[in-house]
Amino acid sequence: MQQRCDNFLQFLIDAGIKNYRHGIVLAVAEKLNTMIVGIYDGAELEGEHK
Amino acid sequence: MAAPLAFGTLSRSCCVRGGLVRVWEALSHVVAWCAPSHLRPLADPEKSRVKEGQMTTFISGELEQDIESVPGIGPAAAALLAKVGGCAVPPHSLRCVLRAHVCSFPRCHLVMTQKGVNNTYQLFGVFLGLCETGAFVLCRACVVFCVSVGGGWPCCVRRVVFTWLATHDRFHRATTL
Repeated sequence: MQQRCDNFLQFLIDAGIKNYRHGIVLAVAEKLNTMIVGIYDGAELEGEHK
Repeated sequence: MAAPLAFGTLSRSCCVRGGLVRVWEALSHVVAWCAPSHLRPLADPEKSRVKEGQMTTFISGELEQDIESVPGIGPAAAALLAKVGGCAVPPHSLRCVLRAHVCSFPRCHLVMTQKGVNNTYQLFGVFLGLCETGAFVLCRACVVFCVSVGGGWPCCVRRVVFTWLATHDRFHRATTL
């Protein structure tokens, strides 16, 4: 999960987007999680950063 | 005789410059792929500056096709996403087409090819297509997704989701999509 989110963040950076990148990653991941339960776990992601 | 000579010199210098640019691009991609994970940017939900209410509305609301309905994406970001091209390293993109599992490279953006990302379904497809190492089945679905660029985007996203769910024993969930 972490890798996919990081890749998506990298994609946004490469696309030239400068603002709200982490927010976009979070929004897409959370929305997809409502459609595919378990695809994203915010707590797990936060845990990997600490 | 001077004109053809000048033309020849010019075209040769353009070729050399073009070649150098390509070598530079290829090297920068290789360096990015090889970079240790701590040097690459990490997605961090705590860094999100999107307003809570906006996020909740998006998550709990109906999915809209308009890409600007995604929190954080405004007209400027939408225009940038519409211009996004394919993978810049030709051997990589070729291998991606032929062998799905190669798209586990972090910078494989083949999912967009030349069409850009113009709606929410495509953006979701990009997220799902950026495979984690070992997610081979999802990668194969990603290639199906890539090949069918140009029409039926929501359908393609659904196919990716179906395949993913089928491999994770949650296939019954797909019926709700």
